[in-house]
Amino acid sequence: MSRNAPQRDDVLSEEALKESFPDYSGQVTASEHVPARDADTVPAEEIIRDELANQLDNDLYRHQAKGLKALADDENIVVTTSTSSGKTRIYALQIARNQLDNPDATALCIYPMKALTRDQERTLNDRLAEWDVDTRTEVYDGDTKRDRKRDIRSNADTILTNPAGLNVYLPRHNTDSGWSRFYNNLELIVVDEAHQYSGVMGTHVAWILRRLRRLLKYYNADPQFVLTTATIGNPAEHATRLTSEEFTVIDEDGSPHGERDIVLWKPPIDEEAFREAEEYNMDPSEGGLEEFRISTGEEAAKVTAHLAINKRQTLQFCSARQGTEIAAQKIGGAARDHPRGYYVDTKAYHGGLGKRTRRGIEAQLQDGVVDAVASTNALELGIDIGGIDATVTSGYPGTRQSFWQQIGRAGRGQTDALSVLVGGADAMDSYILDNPSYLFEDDVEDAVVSIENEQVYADHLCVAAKERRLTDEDAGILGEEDRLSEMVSMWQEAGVLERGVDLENGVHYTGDTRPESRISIYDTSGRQYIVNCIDGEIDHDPVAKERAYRDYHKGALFLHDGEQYEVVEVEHDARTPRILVEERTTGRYTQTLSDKRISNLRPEMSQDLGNGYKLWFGRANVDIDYAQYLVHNISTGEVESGPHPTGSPPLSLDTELMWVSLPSDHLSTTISRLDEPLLQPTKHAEEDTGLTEPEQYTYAGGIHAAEHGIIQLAPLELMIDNSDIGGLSTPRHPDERIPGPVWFVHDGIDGGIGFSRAIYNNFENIAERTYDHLDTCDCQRRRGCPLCVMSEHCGNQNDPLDRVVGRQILGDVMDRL
Amino acid sequence: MVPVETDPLPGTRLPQEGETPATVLAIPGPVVKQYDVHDVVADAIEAIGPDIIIATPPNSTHVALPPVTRITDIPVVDPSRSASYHAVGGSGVLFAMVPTPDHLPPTPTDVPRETGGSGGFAGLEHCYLVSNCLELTIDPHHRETRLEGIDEYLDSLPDGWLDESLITHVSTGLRAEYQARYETATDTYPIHGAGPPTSSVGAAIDENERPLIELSVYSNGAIRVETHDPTNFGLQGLEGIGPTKAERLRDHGFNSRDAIAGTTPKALAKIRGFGEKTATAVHKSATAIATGEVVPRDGGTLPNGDPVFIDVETNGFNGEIAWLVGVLDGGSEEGHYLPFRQQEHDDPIGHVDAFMSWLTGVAGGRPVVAWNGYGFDFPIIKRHLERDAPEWVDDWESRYQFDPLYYATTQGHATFPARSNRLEAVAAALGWESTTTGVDGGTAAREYNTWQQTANQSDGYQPDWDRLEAYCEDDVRALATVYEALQDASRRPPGTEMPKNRTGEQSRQGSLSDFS
Ligand SMILES: [Zn+2]
Ligand SMILES: [Zn+2]
Repeated sequence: MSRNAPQRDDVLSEEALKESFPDYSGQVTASEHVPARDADTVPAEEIIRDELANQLDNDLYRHQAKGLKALADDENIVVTTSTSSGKTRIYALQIARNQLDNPDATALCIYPMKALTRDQERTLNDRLAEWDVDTRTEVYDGDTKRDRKRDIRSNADTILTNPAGLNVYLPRHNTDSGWSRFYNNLELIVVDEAHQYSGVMGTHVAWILRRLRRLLKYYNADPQFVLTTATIGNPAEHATRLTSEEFTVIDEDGSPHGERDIVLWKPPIDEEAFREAEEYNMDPSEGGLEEFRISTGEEAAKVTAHLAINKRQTLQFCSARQGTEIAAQKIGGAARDHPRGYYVDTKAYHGGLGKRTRRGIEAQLQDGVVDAVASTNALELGIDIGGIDATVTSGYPGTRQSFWQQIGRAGRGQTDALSVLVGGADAMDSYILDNPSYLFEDDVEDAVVSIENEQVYADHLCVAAKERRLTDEDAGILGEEDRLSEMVSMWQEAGVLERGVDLENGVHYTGDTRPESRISIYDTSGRQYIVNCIDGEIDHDPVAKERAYRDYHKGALFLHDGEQYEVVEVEHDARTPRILVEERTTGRYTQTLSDKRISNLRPEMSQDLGNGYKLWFGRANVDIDYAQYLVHNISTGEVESGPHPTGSPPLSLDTELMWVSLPSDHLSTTISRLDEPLLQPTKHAEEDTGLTEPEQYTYAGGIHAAEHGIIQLAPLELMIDNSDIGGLSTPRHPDERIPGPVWFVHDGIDGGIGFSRAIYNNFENIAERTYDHLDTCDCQRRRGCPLCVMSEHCGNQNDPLDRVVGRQILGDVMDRL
Repeated sequence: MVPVETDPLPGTRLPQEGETPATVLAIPGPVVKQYDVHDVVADAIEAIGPDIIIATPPNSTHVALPPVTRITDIPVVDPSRSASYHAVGGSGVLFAMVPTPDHLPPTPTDVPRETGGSGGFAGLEHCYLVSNCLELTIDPHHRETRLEGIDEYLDSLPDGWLDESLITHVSTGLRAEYQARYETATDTYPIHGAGPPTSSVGAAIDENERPLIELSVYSNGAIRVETHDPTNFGLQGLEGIGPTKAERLRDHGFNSRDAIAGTTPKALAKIRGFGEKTATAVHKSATAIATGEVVPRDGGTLPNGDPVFIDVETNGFNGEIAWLVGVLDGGSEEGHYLPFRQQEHDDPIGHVDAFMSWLTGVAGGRPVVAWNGYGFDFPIIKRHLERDAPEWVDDWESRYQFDPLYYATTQGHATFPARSNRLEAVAAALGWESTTTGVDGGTAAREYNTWQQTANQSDGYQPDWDRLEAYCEDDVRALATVYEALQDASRRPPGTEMPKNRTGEQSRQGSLSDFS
């Protein structure tokens, strides 16, 4: 394809945006121009039989061709190309080929969200009908009517479902008629958007897929896998960890796109407010100058409104805390305030909307009849909304993978596109605005999923035993031989697996009925908390116990979908534990204080860096008491009341962690190198016996800052949710293997979910990025700021905290790496 | 390969044929707190008929007090509070209830006589030593199960209480299904639970259950456990009645199911929250229990033709082998029982083949009926055929299969006169009596598996096949009893509950594909 004298759009480019944006004052801090790319195609008939090739209205993109060829060679594939690159077409064609070879062949497709399942059902049905393949595709999930289910099991060729559904359908393989036919003939398993499966949910999905594969052996079925993921750093590894199969990676994107500018946008300082504050001689509080920056949400709304006014359909992605409804209102307001004051048709899109409403907005996007949509990351996934002109990302979405998914939404075929990232107010955003090259490197985060959690493993093993008695043939896929036999013995002694027999004979399940119903994919112990609003609806995922204790205790204030809620009651002992919340607007926020103890360290790996520096990974008991909380004023940051009791029981975790142990004399050597005046102890430090020495206090602040920094910036390298990570730093620890100061980074979920293991494995890169950021953070304050080392999850009120000493401590460790 | 223990746990033994067990009802504290004692607990005691009631954690102290002690003459004991000894007349079974073994006299024969039953302990055959000293901890992080408290317990156990063939150690801190043989260097201790699940043990145990526990205890140490949902008893046992509606019924003076059966749906419909539909359902449910009859509800058609009643015994909860297909050809009383049972260790299909030949030959075209058949028997036979005798699959698939449990409860075509939907409970309410004791599906599976696992041993284990077949026969006759009651009920139009009001035959024609 040739492009004659490119006509850059009137607003869909960095230059045009700068020129046209009202009162532009240098918000753009960086940008990247992505040149147009022509389609790289392969004639369809080279790859697939004429019967199908003749039905296609265009050739195959190279990645589609490669994927289909690998499938023809009996390989499993993981496809990591961009959002609208036609990944579905690969597995749709494979389903078609399988069907043509064997009319009985079946396929199972697994999606992370119900909305996506419905969308893909339509797409698959349309494609396969277009190609004249006589096949039946059906969704089978919690919304499917009972009488339809039997028919689908008995007659559908392709079944679409979700992992939680599969968890309960698998054990019914031999009681619900139709499954045996379906499994006997299963030739293809599709796991769509597989990068979504990390953390606690990823661990569960990995075991559900293992149970599926193990059961399929019994049905003499050995299907191929197609996994699709967003661009991640470790697609083959991730796919293998999820399924325990080997994969060929398909990552060369052959789909075309137009020219595209990606613009980083920093909200400006609100000069007026700043001048006013100066006039009144107000003390800048924790946030310093940052406090006068226009909020991310306001600024993003302005950008979106501006693009929409210029007749460019724009999709604005909001973070989990910003509300899409509020964002839609703000966009409307910003459009009215625009110099070319104008009405823009704006909609909010999120998971809490009814199916019909969601579908309506998807169609309006597709048909180009809505000007702007404010969405959660729900629209990041492959739901078909056609192409749009521009995306605005309000606050960094946490991972490059996610960011690129969002950007992939902009552009219709080969037209120009623009994507704007409006920076938010935390350490990650701050790092990215300072280091824009990070976004455009060829690198993306690794997806992290672990199958090491013993509690999750133990539970799925029971369900597997219920599905079919366990035998020694299950070793490997259901855990390595020793792990399997030890866990089986544990359950035999507990009386939930048949006693007196060994794996050679086969071991039956003898526990209570429906163990699968007591597995929750949001939690490792099966005790997830559901969130209910007492005066209305709230669409909130269930919460793991560990987070419930910390963030959802009675009296806790939290933001969800842009609204503030207060927890009014927590029912810990109910059959299904429940968090009751109420919508509140308070101007306050709460901070949970904690006491933490790490004991019984069991190292599994270590790296001796010499001179008394050592990195460790292992397990330990982490006892946390989230006993009290404080109520702060949002605008001043000051404590308004508290400490109040949380009512949360103490939390005992046996979990994974990594730690950095430093030489025993590190405190004195560090202090002696400091030339800045020591920070005066704060009020909190004076109350803190044992840390009253100014030197100790300064050093403790440094090691605490290093700990925070690593946790806050680990998501730069790894797709992990750092609110499921905790830390502890101390100048002394009772464990005899730790000679001096140490800081710990632990998984905040019982049994571990692989996060601190991944941090251990990627420590050098994370430490380097953290060091750079601590060095250059705009605040340049000794104590740091929320954009560098301060953390809302800190149980010690961010005290003591010393950015400068923290950077020096990190530097010492890095010198040894 | 390790030789298989043929008697891994004393509790799983088969008791003497025909022995009447002593019955223990274990009541956890929350049951007394959550339910109306006069309604629910009283009804449960009446239905279960225990010889002794024990209070179990959590909060066992709530149980052994009024009002529970006031509604019954049966001893209500909290072993964690004080020591007491109870002989169950005639069974040779002694219960020693103690807070800790320190309280015990030197030997079981020294147990103070005045607290025992009339006969003294001369004929003592087995002693159940009940405490709440032992609990189970499951630690997946270290892949181990620990019996907490066992060291202190054994330290304080007098030497006269060590005989493993005579003493079973029961703890209310262990869930009732738990049993183990705890071994020290010198001795072995049979251990059994008697409480609800108390600690978090993972997906395999429903720790939210606070059931009523019925333990049938035999003189050879065998124990059978059955748990009951408290909501099956009292007013809440009626269809559509939860705690709130039960409360309202009591407020309006309807204190028992008989009282409800004695009024009219119209009168019930006047109570707040009772629409016409609920009132009718509640009334029907009460009537069913009061009259001991199946009450028909709208719709539903029973199969045409004389049914073939079947019940399969398998090798486990979700077993693949139907090693015994019990068939009843004819009615509950006079019908002919045919047990198709696996004969050789390595021939898992010969008996199923014989069953299919009989079914397609002698019993051609007749409907096959099984209790919970859709959930258990039918798919298991199908899988068994698919694997070992695919030539029969079409014959099996095209046969009309009928599940009375599904028909009555899931489809809602009839209400049973029982406190639960277990086959034995429903059939017993309709007048059926069991002729076997001490065997259940789990015991039967264990017997079969032990037989299989010792196949290569010279003195391989031989189950008492006659007894297992007789147990299966009991079940198919119970099934036939229920089916006949459904037939009787379907001949009465809905709304004519009184047995005498039978009217003419109703058309029973329906499409055979309804349930296939
Ligand atoms: Zn800073
Ligand atoms: Zn902290």
